[in-house]
Amino acid sequence: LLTEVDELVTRCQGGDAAAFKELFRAHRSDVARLVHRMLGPTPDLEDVVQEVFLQVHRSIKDFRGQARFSTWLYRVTVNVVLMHRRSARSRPVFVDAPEGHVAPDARSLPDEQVARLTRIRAFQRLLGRLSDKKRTVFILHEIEGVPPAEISEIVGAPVLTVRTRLFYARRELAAMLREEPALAALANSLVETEPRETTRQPRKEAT
Amino acid sequence: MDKQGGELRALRQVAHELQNEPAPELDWDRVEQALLERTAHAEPIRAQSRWRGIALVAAAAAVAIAGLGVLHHVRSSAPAPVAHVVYVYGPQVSGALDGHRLAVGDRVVTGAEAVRVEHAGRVTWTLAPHSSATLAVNGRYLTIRLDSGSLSAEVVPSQRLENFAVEVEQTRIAVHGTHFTVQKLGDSARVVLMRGVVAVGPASERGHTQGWLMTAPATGTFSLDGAGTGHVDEGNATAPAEPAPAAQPTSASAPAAPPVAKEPARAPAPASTESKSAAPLPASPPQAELDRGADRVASTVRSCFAQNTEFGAGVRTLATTALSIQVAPAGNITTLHFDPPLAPSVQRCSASVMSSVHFSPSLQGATAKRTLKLER
Repeated sequence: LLTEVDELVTRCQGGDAAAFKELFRAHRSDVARLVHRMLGPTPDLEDVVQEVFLQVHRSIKDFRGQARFSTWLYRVTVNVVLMHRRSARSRPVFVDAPEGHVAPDARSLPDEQVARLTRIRAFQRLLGRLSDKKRTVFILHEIEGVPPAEISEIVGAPVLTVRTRLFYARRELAAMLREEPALAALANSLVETEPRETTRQPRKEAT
Repeated sequence: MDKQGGELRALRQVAHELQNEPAPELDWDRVEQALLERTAHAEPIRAQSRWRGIALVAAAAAVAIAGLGVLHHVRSSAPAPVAHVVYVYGPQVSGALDGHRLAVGDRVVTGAEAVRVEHAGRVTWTLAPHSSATLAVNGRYLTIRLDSGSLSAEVVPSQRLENFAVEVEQTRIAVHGTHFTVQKLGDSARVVLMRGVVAVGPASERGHTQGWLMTAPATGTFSLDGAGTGHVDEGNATAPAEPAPAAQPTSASAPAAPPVAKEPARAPAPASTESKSAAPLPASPPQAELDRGADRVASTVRSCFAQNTEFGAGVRTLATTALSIQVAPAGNITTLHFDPPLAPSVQRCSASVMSSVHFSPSLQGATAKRTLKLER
């Protein structure tokens, strides 16, 4: 059964510029979201999204329909993002003040929103410390909701390897969590608010 | 619940929060227009029969140069999402390759004949026979990584710093408007400079390479660890008609005269994009150029503020800060100072603009200031 996307892909493969434009419009938000989640806040977002679709344009003839188009597109996106990260590592970076010495300029925001934003940024810093492989599978699975079998196609690794990377990514993140005050506070508050289940359990009568 | 359980629950919660955070809205019209312009000028490489033919020839020819270890990049029939095209030129292939059709990661490998690659209006580089080079960076800092052999480049003079660069392992040879040859030897890179000025330094200093400064005519030999050690022999450049073929480390490519050791010139970056006879530098970059650059920086800061600031229904976030932009004599931005400071995430995001905005070289550099009223 030929879907609308399949038709667009086929037309793109035939060099139909209008079809490519439609394909871009249909998938640009998904690509931008994944790039944003993998890179965090960056002014390069537009450039990277554009690079993804350039790669799509160049490589679409290689798409044989063995996987879903969305899976293939994720694969292109992940590869472009990883390439971007590698090249960005050697760029000059300047931060005016050391991290932690500057209070976020969010005075007019409600407290909870500020706290949430602070947690997200802290979490993104932790994600940035994971290896590329672990971060990729963690974001694809935990944030994007992609099942391991599909991630396996995206990253070109066996499902078991994907699950192993996920396991270690979670473990490393949990271990690093305490290094970020905002996340440590969240973990503490969750421990404190957790009802002690043992007190609820009815005692077994001695027999 | 134990402490570890709290961490795992915190992990789940913050992952959920990240999941719910919307991606920033982009100017899709602008992205689409730019994308379509680029795709209009760059036909899909695989679709062109000429290059497909070359790729087929490549399969056979690549066997002959298997020692270069590039076979794993050759496209197979399996889906290969990111293009890493290997162009292997056989004797039957002639003409220049359009550099605009290369993507980052694409590799050019030569057989028995040299090949010319043209990036129109910017640079033409020629890869010597039995050499290999990869497009490392596209866009503002066009960079070719020389994997093996030798390449020469003719760079169109430009006011932009580091208009073109060649990297050999960890060593970067950054140029403006010049004519030079880079040759990878066993554990060093040899640079023969026929015209202009190049800076040689660590590859990590992309955009503001500092280290050795060579002024034509000169020949230099540098270590591959970022040019930590090197020799420059000024006035000893011999311009080969075409790049030397890939040579063994023991080839006769050493400087003709004993090299003269020079201390790396850390402070000055290349002062001019022209040859020695260029006009004297102005005291500072032109005011109009400073204004344009400062506006661009300010625009990036606004965009970063919008992307990194939380908002809610009926809530506006306002911030005012004095931005001070310090420009070095070489034309690169050395400092962005915010008073009062913005959120670290906004500043970190804004820092990326430093490598993309450049000014004309001058004697003293300059400082540009802007008062920014930011709103989200």
